[in-house]
Amino acid sequence: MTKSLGNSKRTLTSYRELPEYIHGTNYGEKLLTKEPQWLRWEQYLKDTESPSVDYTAKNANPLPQTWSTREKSDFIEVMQSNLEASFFGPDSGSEHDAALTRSDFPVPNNCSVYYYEVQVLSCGKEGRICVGFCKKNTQTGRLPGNTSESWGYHGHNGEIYHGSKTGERYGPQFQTGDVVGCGLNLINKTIFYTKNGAYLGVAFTNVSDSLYPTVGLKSQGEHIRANFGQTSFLYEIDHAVQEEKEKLLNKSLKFVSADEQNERKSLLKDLISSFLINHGYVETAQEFCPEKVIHSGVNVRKMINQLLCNGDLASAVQEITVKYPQAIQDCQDLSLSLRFLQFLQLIRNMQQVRSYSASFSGVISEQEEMKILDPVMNYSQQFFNDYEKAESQDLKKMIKLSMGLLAYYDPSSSPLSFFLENDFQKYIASRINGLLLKFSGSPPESHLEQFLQHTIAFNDLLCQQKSLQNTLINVQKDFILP
Amino acid sequence: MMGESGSSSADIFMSDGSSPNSETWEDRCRNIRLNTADINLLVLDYLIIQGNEQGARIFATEAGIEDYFIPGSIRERMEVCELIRQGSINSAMYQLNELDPEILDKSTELLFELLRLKLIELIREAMNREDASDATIEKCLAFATENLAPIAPLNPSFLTSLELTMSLLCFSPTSYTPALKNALDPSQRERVANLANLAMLKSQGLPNESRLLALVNFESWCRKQAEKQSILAPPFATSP
Repeated sequence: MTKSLGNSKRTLTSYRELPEYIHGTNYGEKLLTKEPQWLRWEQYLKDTESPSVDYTAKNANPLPQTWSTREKSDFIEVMQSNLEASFFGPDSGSEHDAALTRSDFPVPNNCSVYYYEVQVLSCGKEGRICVGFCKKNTQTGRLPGNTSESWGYHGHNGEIYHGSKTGERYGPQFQTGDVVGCGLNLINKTIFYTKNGAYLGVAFTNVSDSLYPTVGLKSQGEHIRANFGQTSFLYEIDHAVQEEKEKLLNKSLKFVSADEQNERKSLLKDLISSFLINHGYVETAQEFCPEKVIHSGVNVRKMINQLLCNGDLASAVQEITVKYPQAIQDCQDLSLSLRFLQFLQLIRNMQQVRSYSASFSGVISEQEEMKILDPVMNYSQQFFNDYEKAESQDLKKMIKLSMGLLAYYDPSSSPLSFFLENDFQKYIASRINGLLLKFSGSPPESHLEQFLQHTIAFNDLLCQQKSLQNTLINVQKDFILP
Repeated sequence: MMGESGSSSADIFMSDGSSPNSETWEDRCRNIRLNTADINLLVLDYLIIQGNEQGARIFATEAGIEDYFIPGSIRERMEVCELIRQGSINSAMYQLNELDPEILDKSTELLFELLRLKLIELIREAMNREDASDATIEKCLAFATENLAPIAPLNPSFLTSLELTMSLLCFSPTSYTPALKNALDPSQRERVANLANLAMLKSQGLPNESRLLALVNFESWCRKQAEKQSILAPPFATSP
């Protein structure tokens, strides 16, 4: 069990850096949703925008990362990226010369379960090390557990303390080389401990919230190192939390009547039909819910989508004009999207002509160049005059960004080349699909997507309103992500 | 536990409190980003677990996710379920064994139910004969004794169920209680078909409900939680 004493300082502020068990909680979900899957053009914008635009997750309260350098007893020194702590106080043996240090940040309330481990690097003279949690303004001159604002498990006698000088028997003693884990269950309001990966049981009940991990030292030479999730834990906390989660979800299914079950199944069928029709999966819809296909216009939309993806703009516009009269005139975004596709097509054509001429004659004369460029410039000028009228901010940003294509002699090898790829064409085509739906009076998102969004927001709401069990669920990760 | 005072479903704050007061619930929902690729996989998972092979195959092609579609396994499952629905229990049991020889060992409930259905078919046959001869009734009794009696003690509900089934022989059809009539009802077969579906899914290592159904169940649970704690729950209405 040799753990390296390296200077690992994972910051634990982004979803990827969090310990696995936190991924599955509402806390993890909040961080996850702040880092959406960037589309190519958004990624480009993000990479090139000035640093003052900050996309990082400022919203979620940070987890405990290190020992605080201010909120600690003077007798304690923290080091090694503030993860280790050592006692440098007097050798008096008096109760008043104890020292405590707590973490920089408290455990956030929507974290549902929090766990950290402390490795005893040295017992020092007396081995009076204790591990636990404390409130914000706890006295730094007392060991955790000796005051009413702290809870502690003491290594020299294996007893647990809360608000008293006398402890209760709880578990084994611990000393140099042992790794003590300390967990806070915010749903049950309990604290539990582990030793060297073995679960010891619940130690305290009815604990407060807004607690900080804390450690207390008392004799010379005592030296510990904490792991707040920067490296992997000895105890299988991920597994334990997963089990809790499954228990919770299974419990929720127990008392469902057959009627309710059928209701849910038919709701699901509805949602799926809506999704299939919305996204133009005509053949599947024909198989799954044929009765809904007839009045939905999905065939028309699918055809338009295919025409757009194949680059046949003229026919697509024709279809739209016929099947959705007035749509192009009335819907600003629709007409701009179509013109956007036209613009991109012109760029592609221009590129083709250039490369053809160049391969043919080696060099392109100015006159030839003007001939190639003119139609594109004419179109672009008009187009870029109008793009500000777009209702969608996204559309505006995309178009503005695409102006840059004109600056490149060979756009498809420029950083903006993604605009010219098939994927982008499909993306715009799907946006146009959404606009057509909107024009016909349906919402652009299908019922299924609305339901997913609704459930995510609903769980969030419950967490905010202090429904503690809900904090154990990360809707995105548990139900939606593969 | 009462929700925070003054907050209705119309003005919900984000957990950091930084979103504007005027953000409505719909806006908040609409701003949640979803990946269509992920949703495609969820829909495919639903179609597969439902057993809609044709639908799953067509969808996999239309959505461009053919790699995720495993043919064949669905068809076998559906065939077994269909056989059960038609009452051809022998064929169903044969197919089940072909699929997984241990499947009936792993699920005694399924084994019992299948044998019980078989017994019911024998009883039905006995009742339909013009000459309610003792031989056919003997056949039923023999079947029950040999096949069902050994398993029945494993579970108290099995015994009750067996007794009920046997009592079909004791009374004339016109004097059947609702419980007895129910025992003969073809809807019993549907129930057993579902059981078989679950057992087969388990044996294939698939979850027994699609993720989307799990999500729908979860949402209903959220409603119950909200009710329990007097939190105002946002409505979900599908616009026409």
